[in-house]
This record gives sequence, C-alpha cells and structure tokens, in this order.
Amino acid sequence: MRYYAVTPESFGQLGVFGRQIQKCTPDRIDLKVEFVRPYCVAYLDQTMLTESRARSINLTSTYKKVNRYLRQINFEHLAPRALLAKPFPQQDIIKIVRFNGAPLQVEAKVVSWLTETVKPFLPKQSPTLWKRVVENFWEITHNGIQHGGGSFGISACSQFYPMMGYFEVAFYDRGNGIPKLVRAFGAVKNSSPDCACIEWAAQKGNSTLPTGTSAGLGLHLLREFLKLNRGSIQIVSGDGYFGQDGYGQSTYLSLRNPIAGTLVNIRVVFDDDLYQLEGEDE
Amino acid sequence: MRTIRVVDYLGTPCLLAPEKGETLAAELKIELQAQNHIQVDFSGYEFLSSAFLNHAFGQLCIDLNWDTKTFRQRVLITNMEEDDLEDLELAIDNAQTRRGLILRGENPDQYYSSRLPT
Repeated sequence: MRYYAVTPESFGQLGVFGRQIQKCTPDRIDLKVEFVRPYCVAYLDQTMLTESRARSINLTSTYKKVNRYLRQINFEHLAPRALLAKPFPQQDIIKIVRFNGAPLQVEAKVVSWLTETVKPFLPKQSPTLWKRVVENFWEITHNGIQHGGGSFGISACSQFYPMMGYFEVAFYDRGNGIPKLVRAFGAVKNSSPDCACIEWAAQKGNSTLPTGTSAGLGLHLLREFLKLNRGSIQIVSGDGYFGQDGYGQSTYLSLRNPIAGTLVNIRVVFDDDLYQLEGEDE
Repeated sequence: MRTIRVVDYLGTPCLLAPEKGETLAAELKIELQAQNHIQVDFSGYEFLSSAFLNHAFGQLCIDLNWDTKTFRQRVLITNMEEDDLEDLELAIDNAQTRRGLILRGENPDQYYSSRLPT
C-alpha cells in the first residue's frame, strides 16, 4: 500500500493497517510504503502507543527515506535499525507532537507549538490568516481531548509542502470517536451509519455537550474558514468519512474498514491573496 | 458604565480555552447585578475561539435568560475584530436557539436530531 493520496480509500486503509499492527508477530512492523503523509504518522503514533501498553513494539520501513523522515520528526516507536537513518539535510521537517491534559495547559502547548515550531517553517502570512490557523487548530485539539477522552490524548503531525503551497496537519485520538458520542447523545438513530453521525456533528450548533450548554460552532467555523481559504478537511471516525474539498463540496460515505477514535486531516493553503481578498484587504 | 478590559482581567491575550470564557462570564454576572450596562473591551487580544465566546457570552444569555436584544442593551463589546464580531453573533444566535427550545419545553437534542440533513 502506498499512502500517497488523500482519498477516502487511503483513509480506509488505515483501519486495515491498524488491525495488522494489533495482530503482527514478531513485534516489529515493516512499513512498506514509500511516502508517509502526516495523517499516517499521527495514526501510527497513537496506535503504537496503545499497542505498547501490552508489548514492546517498534517499526521500521523498507525505504530509507521513510526511516529518515520518521527519525527526523522524533517518531517514538522506531526500531534500532531505523534509528541509524541519517536525517535529511533540509531543516523544514516538523516534529510530531502530542497534546493531553487540562484545557489551559493544552492551550498553552498548542499556541507554543504553532508559534515556535510550526510558524518558522511557513511562508510569511497575514496576521489574520495566522490568527485563524491558531484558533481553528486549537479547537480541533480541544475537541479531540474533551470529547475523545483517549488515554494518550491527541497526536498531531504536520508538514509544509512548499512546491504545492499548502500546509497539512493531522490530528488523531483513539478515544470515543464521533459516532459513539453522537449515538449516546441520542442525536441519531442507533441504526444510522457512522458517516451520518459525523454529518450531524459537522452542522452549525450541534454538540454532544449537555443541553443547556452553549456550544457546537467550532467545526462549523473551521469549515467556513477552509472554504474561504480553499483548503480542505477530512474527518474519519469509525467507518464514517467526511470530506470537504477546496471548492467547499462535502462528501459523506462509509469506509470498508473502521478506525478507532477520530482522525482529522486539514490542508491550509498559504496563498495570502485568497484570504485577504475576503477578509483583510478592504 | 464599568469597563472590563478582557486581556488585563484574564492576564493573557490568548482567549481560547473555555475556562477563560467562564471566568469572564462569572465576573460579568457579578457586575451586572450592580449595574445595568457593562463595557467589555477586547483591546490587545491575539486569539479568540468560539469555545471562549460560547462560554463567556452564549452561556451568559442562557443562564440569565437573555434574548439578543437584552444582551446588546446591557453588554457593549468594543475593540473586537470584525470576523470575531461575526463569530460572537453566531455564538449569541446559537445560544438563543437553545434558550428558545428550553423555554418552549422542547428537548434541544430531539430538535437537532430532527434537523439532520438528508
């Protein structure tokens, strides 16, 4: 399997991969991919953290460049052989990060990660674009920890692709998952597919927080921001898939293979003209 | 009219965590018992989340049973960026929907589930 693309099929393969990790013996995974996108790394990090509670498990890749990349981002679960890989000469590789804990601590860590670690790798951007990036990424992290409740919090892996002019970041938690929360809340029928649960959660005003709580805008505002930015988002939870492309078109479908928890993959376009036209340049 | 400078009051220009919104809402409730109007000045803030706005102002409307008009009459927001003012409007509207449902004795959970897009 080559994780080249950002397609429903590629996300669907994560579920297969997760089951292979659970079943694999010996406790070393040979990653036969030539390229790993941030969403694969975030998924691998949390999945291997979970597995490592019961056994020692590590990973190496058939491809040197993948080992080099994983080492350079400080991927924790590398096999000794992979740790020998020399780092890439370029310094634009962003290290993986995990968030967990109380909201105020997470807020401080997210802002510091974005400002000190991520921002230096990105092209100069307008203050408004950067403000929206920080606010939206914080909301995703906060939601993943607050609603997901996974033991290991949430992993975030990101990369700027200068030739493509976009920044990609993936957040993954192995917590409750959106379908379980939405069904427990009674917002959809138990027989509804997982993608219907994600669809419910992505609508303005919908939240699984208690009835008298004002909430349910974060995901809606993120989608609006990405429409303006011509960026995209994919959310996978259970076997449900939601995608919003660069034209603002939404897709909901069921994947063949479910994943535990929730994966959110976001692409932000760093072309300031797009944002300034609508928001700033008046 | 008393003015609360949010950044000074909370000691940070980073207004993301809902707890900070709750802290502000608690102060607003105390002040609004003593006076009719209050000015909330956002000078100097860097980041603002919908969670903060929900907990600071949306929840205030639900807890005090305020409609949008009452909120606007009693709370004057100043020095907030235009985009964020739109988000604030959304947070207040969202709170009004929930408040209205509660007042009508409807269950918001059922309301939202019946509005699931097809």
